[in-house]
Amino acid sequence: MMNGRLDGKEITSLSEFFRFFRDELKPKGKTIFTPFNIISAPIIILGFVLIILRLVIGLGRPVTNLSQDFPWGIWIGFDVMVGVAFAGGAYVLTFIVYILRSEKYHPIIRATVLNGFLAYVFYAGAIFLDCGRWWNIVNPIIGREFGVNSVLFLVAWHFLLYMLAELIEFSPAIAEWLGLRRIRKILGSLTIGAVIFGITLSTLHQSGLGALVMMAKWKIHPLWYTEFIPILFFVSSIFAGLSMVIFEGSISHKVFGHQIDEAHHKAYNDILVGLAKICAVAMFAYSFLKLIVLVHDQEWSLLKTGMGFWFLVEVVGLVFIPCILFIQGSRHQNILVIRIASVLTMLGIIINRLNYVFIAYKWYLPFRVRYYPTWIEVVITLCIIFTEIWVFRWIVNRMPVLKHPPEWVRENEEH
Amino acid sequence: MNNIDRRTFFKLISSGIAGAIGGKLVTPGIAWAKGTNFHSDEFYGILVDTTRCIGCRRCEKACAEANNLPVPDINDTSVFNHERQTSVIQWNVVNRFETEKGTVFVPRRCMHCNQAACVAACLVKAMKKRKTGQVTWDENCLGCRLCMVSCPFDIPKFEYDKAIPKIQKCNLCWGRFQDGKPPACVEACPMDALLFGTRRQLLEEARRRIYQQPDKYYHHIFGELEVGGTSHLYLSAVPFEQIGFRTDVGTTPYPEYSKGFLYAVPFILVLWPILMLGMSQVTKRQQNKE
Amino acid sequence: MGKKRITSFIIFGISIIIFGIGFGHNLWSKIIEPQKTTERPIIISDIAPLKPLEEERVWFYHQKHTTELEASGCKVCHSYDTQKSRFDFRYPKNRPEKDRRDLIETYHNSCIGCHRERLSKGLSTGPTACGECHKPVLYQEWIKPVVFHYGLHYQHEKATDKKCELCHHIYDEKEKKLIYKQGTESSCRDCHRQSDEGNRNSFRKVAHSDCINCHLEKKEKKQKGGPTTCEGCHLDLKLPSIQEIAEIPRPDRKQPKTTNIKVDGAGMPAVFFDHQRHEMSSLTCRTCHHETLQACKNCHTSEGSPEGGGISLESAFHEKNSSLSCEGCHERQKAQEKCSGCHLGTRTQMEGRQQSCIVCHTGPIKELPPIPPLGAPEGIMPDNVKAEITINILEREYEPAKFPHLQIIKKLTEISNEDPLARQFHRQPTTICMGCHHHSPVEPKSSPPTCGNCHKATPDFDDLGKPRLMAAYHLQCLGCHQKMNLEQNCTVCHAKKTSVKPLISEKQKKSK
Repeated sequence: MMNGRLDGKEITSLSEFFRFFRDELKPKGKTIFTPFNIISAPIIILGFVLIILRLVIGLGRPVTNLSQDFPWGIWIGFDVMVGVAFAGGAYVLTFIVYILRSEKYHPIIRATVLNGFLAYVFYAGAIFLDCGRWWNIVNPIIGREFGVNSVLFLVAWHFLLYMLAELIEFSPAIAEWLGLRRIRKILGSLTIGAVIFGITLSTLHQSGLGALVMMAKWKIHPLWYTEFIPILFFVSSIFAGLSMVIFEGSISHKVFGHQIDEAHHKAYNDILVGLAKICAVAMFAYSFLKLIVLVHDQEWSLLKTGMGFWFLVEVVGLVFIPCILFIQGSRHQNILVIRIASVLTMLGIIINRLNYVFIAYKWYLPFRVRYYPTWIEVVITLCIIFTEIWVFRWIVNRMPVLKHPPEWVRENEEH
Repeated sequence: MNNIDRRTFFKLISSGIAGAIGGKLVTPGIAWAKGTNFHSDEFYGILVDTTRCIGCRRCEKACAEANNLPVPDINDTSVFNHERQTSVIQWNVVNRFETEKGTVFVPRRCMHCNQAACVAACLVKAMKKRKTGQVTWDENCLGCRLCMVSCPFDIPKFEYDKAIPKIQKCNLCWGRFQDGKPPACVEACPMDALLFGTRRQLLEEARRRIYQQPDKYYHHIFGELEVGGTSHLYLSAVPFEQIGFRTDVGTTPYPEYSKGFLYAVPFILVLWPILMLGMSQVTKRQQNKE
Repeated sequence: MGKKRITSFIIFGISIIIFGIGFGHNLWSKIIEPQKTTERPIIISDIAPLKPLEEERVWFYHQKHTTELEASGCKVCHSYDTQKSRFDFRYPKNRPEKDRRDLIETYHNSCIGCHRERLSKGLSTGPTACGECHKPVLYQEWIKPVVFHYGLHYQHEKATDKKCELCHHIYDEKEKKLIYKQGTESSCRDCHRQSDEGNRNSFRKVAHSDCINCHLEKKEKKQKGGPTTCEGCHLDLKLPSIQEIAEIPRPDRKQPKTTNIKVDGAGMPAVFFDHQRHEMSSLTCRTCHHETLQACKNCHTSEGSPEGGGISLESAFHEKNSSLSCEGCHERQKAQEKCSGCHLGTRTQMEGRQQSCIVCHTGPIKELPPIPPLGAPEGIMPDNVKAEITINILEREYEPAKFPHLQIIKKLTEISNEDPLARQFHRQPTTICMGCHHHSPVEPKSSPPTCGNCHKATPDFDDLGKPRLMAAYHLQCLGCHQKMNLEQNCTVCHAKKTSVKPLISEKQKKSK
């Protein structure tokens, strides 16, 4: 269904824009009561109520289970660290499509960039919620003093700048939606700059999230703590992001299948196989890096402990085995195996990041003082994720993300 | 004034900045109260001699009185039954340990490291290392709690249960220091187990005590080299792991652990764009050929 | 085979391997709990001299085995020489000493073999899996070395009817056998050292084999004998105090009662040494004769020699930190509760060491001259010795303290007069005053300065070694009270006030 300004007329005034936007807000599709909506809407509403509760009464119980021993929970561990790792598909794919100019992955680039942008926006929201003194959240940006020795300072600035970069990368789609031709042309020319900027920033803040815990030396189990944590985080973000692209792409292609044309559908399997190959290479490199770290730190005897077993589950079970599966899947064009591998990989990334935050972090403390998320934390996390999906769905249904851009976009401008 | 040209504008701005900086250099930073001889350019600290501590907890009481915290009941000795950590209402706790040399009492508080991990971790400089050695917390804090993750002694405590939370930790009585007074705990101690002075003097005094009474002390000053040196120095009659100290914190200052990454940042910021522009050009040429 | 199947097999296989490793190495975090017993395990690592160990050393509980197999006796594990009527306590029986592999196998066959046998009979038994023996355990050290004090020696003298040859022997190099020669009796440790040296076994081995064998023999014959279990000697034997064995006759080896120790070229007058008195003030000969019963200067030469461990004769007599030297032992007497108040607790003004040299270095004499006791302090300094002093300079939280000055001086004088060693050194009455009055002149006719004359109420930031007045009082008073185990409760010295001005006042807080 064609809508918006994709039929060729430009928006020329603000009032026109408001009218257009109001029209666009109307839901699409046959009914609003889809299974997904029925499940997610109450959670979203409840989540917003709980968010207000959290802002009013603070971070103490019953809102979170954070304690003096475990200052970070799933909002940092899952929402921020895992979320940002999963959003790494954006920089990898923009690198492949715009720097290496591989046309093969062009069809999915907009969806990935949109996902990246939304991920950072919403996970910045998660950081906002996690900050105990959230009214000061602008301080790293426009405060009196900047703690330039802090890795978190770098991460905070990068989040902001990366959001802008992704927005710029995605903005041609917005311009096409609004029918703003001249602006579309300008934005198109900014893409390559934004891409380079984005990849540079991504490299730094993906590894930066790992560098955050570098000072917690004896608190993190020696099998996980190494001076190479930033590099490991960076490499793992590559295959984390691509696994998310595979996973989310599979869902999007089913849900928004009507938007996608025949050629794209056919090419999609090739895309998946290609992504699987890249993942496999990155995961192989990561496994090898982990092995080098193990040998270098002479930690073999630690593998005989309970935590050592957990380490093997994470690295062998959820990195090395999916790597093999990706190789198998790509070699035999087996999409199901690739999808299974991507789910396993994502599980491995979740476990990896959560290890650094509250599992392998102070692993020596007994169970009764350990951190586990409260239902409120889980609901708010789900609320953020579902809201993000709702926004994603809203945008994909209206803007040229999975469907073709309007005809007035010239061939050589198309990004 | 409407037609001020660019050159004049720049001259005005730069002279203004220069004046401000110059003025700051000339006038002293802190006005010292009359009668004290606190230097403004040396690290100050506290020497804690655990062989003298009798566990009276007057330091806890004075700390609470001086810093608007709830005053603990120091007659209650049941608190010694388990090892306590500092908390959001107690910046300073005394713990009791039974050792081979008898009962030892140890007051624990922020170590005020020379190169504090919390200071390096803070992205808004809410945690500051003052020129005179105190590590203090300020109200521009975000509450991100990275300082808690980074501290090797697990000192900063966060007020989770408040809507307007703070980070609570000893600040070596920074306010009293600026009035020329020693920390409250030092003033309260009846045994001079807490000694206030410059770090340099305290180290010499600690060494002198070990030298003159070698049987009384374990021959190590905790905080001299640990984590690159701290402003709180401890003397003990028994090895430090027996009185609740982590002896595996190492001598590397903790900010050094994130130094490797931070040093790589400018390299990547410069090299990555150049690399990618280059690659983009190469592939563009290839694309044009096709 | 289909591609999907291969993939699933690979996944399955790797999972099996991981789980296999997990179970094989007890990965399901078996937390090592400290053992409930207090027994010290024997750490078996005697393969080590043959080749570096590959497995964790075995931590072996002897007591578990002796209690379990008590009925069967030692013969179950240890070989018994019926000819000599002695046990050979080495383990395993008939162990091959040369070959590492053989030795390991012998251990395994003996230990695991027995465990398997008992397991098949349904009896309680030890482990049979590798990792359960080859793993470290936590234990609490309880083993006390056995001090063979004069009391025990006298007991053995009576039990053997003074047949010294039953225990004492020397090795005849020519005949290559053990013989007894009267007058050469010495401590076992004179020859039997820490580890085996050639055909001379370590002290630990010979003590256990000789002592236990004799005790076992007595037990067999149902006679009264010594202990046969570990804790019998190592735990249950109480170390007597010197007073308790004061009446017990010392071993007679024709040693001199007194002597003059003169060292040529030493530059100091001779020292009069009362050997008999020192015998009565120690638990064993080894308190001083730590290696051999010869005179000190035989091994400790003037310059130091290998026999003397490099320790010169001067050090051997005067090393303050040693428990074996003269001065070291006298130093340790100061650690007695009654002496430690001044000597260890307070900041005492110590007289120069030079003055105390002449106490011992008297030159050659026949007996020690008598030292008169210190007189009553009022008699010497009637005007200056205040009976009670009220300390109220720092009054805030407590009432003023009433310090019983004269009472303390009298008590300390009494303690000094009653101890013969103290009497030798405390010859001046002002010696007692210097226990508290330090860094100041103490003379009979004048008053020394008070604490507050030098120690000020506010801290001195330029001299951190000098405590401020409140700390000076507490360090000095409590220091002595802690060492002498006197009252340390605050209210004993000064009563608590009911309403107290806070230390940090509101006015002070505002200026923050």
